[in-house]
Amino acid sequence: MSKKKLDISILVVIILMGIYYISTAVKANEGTPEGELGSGFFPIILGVALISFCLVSILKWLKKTDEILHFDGMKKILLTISIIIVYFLAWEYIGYFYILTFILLFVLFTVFRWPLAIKKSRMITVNLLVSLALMAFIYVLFNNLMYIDF
Amino acid sequence: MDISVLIACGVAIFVGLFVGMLMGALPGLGLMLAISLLLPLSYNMDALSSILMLLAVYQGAEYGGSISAILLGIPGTAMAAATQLDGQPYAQKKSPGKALAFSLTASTIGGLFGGLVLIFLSKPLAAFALKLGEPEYFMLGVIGLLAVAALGSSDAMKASISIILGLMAATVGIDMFTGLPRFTGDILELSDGMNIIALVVALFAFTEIFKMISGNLNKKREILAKDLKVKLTFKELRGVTKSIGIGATIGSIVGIIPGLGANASSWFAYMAAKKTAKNPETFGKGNPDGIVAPEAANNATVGGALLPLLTLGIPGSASIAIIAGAFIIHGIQPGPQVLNNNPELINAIFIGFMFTTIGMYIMGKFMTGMFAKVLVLRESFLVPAILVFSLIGVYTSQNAHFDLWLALGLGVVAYILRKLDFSVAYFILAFVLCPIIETSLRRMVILSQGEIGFYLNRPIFMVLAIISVLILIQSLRNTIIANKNKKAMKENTAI
Repeated sequence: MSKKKLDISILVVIILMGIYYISTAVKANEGTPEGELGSGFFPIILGVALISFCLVSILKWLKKTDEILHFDGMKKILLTISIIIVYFLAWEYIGYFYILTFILLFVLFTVFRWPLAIKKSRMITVNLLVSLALMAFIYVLFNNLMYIDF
Repeated sequence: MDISVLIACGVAIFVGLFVGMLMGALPGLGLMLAISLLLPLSYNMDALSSILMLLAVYQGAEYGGSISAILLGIPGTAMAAATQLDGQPYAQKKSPGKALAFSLTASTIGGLFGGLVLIFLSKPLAAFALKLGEPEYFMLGVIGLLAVAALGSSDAMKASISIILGLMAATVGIDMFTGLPRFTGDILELSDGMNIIALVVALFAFTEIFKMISGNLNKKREILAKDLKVKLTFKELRGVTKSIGIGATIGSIVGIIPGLGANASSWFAYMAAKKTAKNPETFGKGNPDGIVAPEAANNATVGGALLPLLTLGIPGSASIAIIAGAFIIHGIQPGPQVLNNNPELINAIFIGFMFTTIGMYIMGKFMTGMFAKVLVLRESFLVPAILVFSLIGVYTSQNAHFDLWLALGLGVVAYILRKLDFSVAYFILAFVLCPIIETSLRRMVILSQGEIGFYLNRPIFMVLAIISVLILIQSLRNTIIANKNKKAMKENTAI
């Protein structure tokens, strides 16, 4: 992927965010008595500085040559993020933290260790045992020692 | 002191050292991830134990980094890169255990020296800090940020944007002056501001996890497993005392200066030891002076770096900013007031700090072999475990699912931003410094009533203002030199 294109796109998004931030800060300043500093005073300075720095960064690309940015392993990262999202939703709406976390650990171990050239049944058994051992540790640490209720 | 407090502190130091050494030893994990993982535990601990635990992590990770640098030839932390130059050749030619012993002994002496610097300089510096008013505090905060952006970054613009984003993130929540909510988007969970633990985990743990996932998680590592006895004779120690002294002195001084940190101090110490050595040509080929100087320096930096936080309330690096977060979680604003109003806590921190260093020596002596064995563990086992502990840490800090979503969202954004050379370290530093900077700025503007004379009549303020201008000039000079070097390199490649 072109670093220049991605960088400029991100900087534009940050500039837009800066504009929204300033407009919210201006609104926050409304109704402030004269001679006093409203809650938007400092944020306005920050917003202006942010936009200025972003513009300079964009202008710097005029002199620089483009580079290729490598996003290796994107499929694995996206798969992991998807698994985490499903885990969050299940935890929030269904509960059963310890069971869900055990499943999360087992699924992640299996996904990450799948390319290993070992017998799959052996790998799954190891993954199950490691997930179980880790969950036992988490249960004792958080439930029995720290009294945290999930 | 109550025996239960002593036990709690002892356990906290042990946990901190264990996690610090382990994470420091494992290449790719390191100090920031270790601190991020343990910070959430602070909520369920008393102030002293949690601060000592994080300081122990810092000390432990500094030594832990040298374990993989010596045994694997891969520095576990950036700070251990200088150690690797002589550590690995020494381990290959002579003995891995001796190389580790040089590293551990130097780290311990460096850590103790940094601790003494902290203890003896904190009182006079705090007394000086009490004379400072709002304008001076504002300038100190600004210098803290300018120094990291100017001295510690290759792209000053990206560093500045990261800092501004960190400051902006800290303005979310109730404004302390007016009591009105700002930038919360009517989200109740944001009314107290962004959860620092969610931020730290997102910026340091999640981004590191994504980075590891993007690589080969099943890579097998080979270590030098023979002769791991960490033992040094008195004669061997005497031979390297000069380099340890150089490292410890440089480390303590560099630690005090914001923006430099342990990475810079270990390289400065390595270069200084090489320059003053009788046989500099042996450096890089397994000279023990090349192991001890950077190791003494990076551990001495810890004590030095704590000095501006405890006396001025200004953290000089991201790791110290996270430790400042542990103070804030317990309702303590680090600075000269704490030193004067809560001397018991500060004295206990000083004593505990010395014990973390001694504890590091004991643990390093008896457990280095175990940490060495962990080095062969594949990342496919580590990543899910780290991820789950990070998620639990975020959730337990406020028992809020919202923080989990916040951490995940910010983690994804931060991963992309890191790829584009933005700095998550500067972001978190700015986040922690923001309350000091904003409060001081607003009070300063009100007090001055627009009169320039108000500032001109404050000599310390003027000195600090000149320092910040000098930092800006230095930053500009660095940028020009870097651009010239780049141009020259391009021309050379073209030829």
